Amino acid sequence: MDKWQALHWFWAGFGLPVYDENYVPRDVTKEGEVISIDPPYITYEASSGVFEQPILLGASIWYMSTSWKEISIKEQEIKNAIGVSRLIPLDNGEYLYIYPGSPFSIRMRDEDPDIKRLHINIMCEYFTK
Amino acid sequence: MGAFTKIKAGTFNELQTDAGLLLTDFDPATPTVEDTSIIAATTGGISISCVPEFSDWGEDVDNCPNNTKELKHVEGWTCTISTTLLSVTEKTVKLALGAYTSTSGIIKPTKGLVSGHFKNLWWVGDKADGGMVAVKLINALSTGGFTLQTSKNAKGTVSIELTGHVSIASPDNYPMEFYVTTVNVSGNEGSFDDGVSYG
Repeated sequence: MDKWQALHWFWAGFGLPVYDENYVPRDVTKEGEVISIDPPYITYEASSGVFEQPILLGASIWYMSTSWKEISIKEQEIKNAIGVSRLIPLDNGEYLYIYPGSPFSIRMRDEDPDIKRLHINIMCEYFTK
Repeated sequence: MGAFTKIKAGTFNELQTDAGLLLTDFDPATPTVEDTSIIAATTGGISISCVPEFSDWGEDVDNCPNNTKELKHVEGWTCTISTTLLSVTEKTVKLALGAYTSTSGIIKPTKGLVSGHFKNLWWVGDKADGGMVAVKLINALSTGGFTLQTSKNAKGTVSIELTGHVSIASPDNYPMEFYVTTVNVSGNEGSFDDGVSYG
């Protein structure tokens, strides 16, 4: 997979729908019926860097809930999946090298109090040509 | 891009990543880590050094250039592992002192160096391709002594320098061994696969 697929692949590993933060559908039409896209889902920043220049990438976990409990569990799952660092193999012997950013997660305010959003920061170095 | 500005194929597979571990025991043939063999948490990475000591027999020979290869000799090797430990335990205090006695929980530096003070140690680190790099320091003894640095609002740290030693029993065996493998010991993921889960 290429670096863009790799980012999507990583964020897709947590059992939630995943969207590029620039392209979150508000609703979709399926068999003539309009379905709105509601949380929970993950949105992620799709950016790329170069070898030896790590970049900060963000993502957000979105939940529709009155409590922070579920989103906190999902945050821990992501933290466990990254660990100290994680190497994701790409095509042609290249890798995506990711590790937790600082701060790792931040609770974010939304106009709707029932929407809980946690912003995640990861550092990413592209071991690519 | 210029003709001589390029990255060699396979470069990324050869990268060593993360700080690795200092261990009391390790077997490269079966590369697993027991929690009890981890010496201590470290900070700032770990430095491994294996430096030869040369003598140049042509140095004082008239008309002979310095660094004539036929007259160059290796007198020995200085092999060290240096790092800064975050753990302050009996184990790390003893390791840092090197020559010590321990009686009734009291650890003291001593002049009496015995063979038990020299221990084999390992540093093991990951490679990007899922392999590992392992370095064995043989007959390691702390030659930098014990230094505990504390600070307000910060963790105390212990700096150590461990030097490997040759034994009279095998004087041609210098005290560092290197193992580099591409065996996938870290379980890195393979190719793109829909529906991947970390559960």
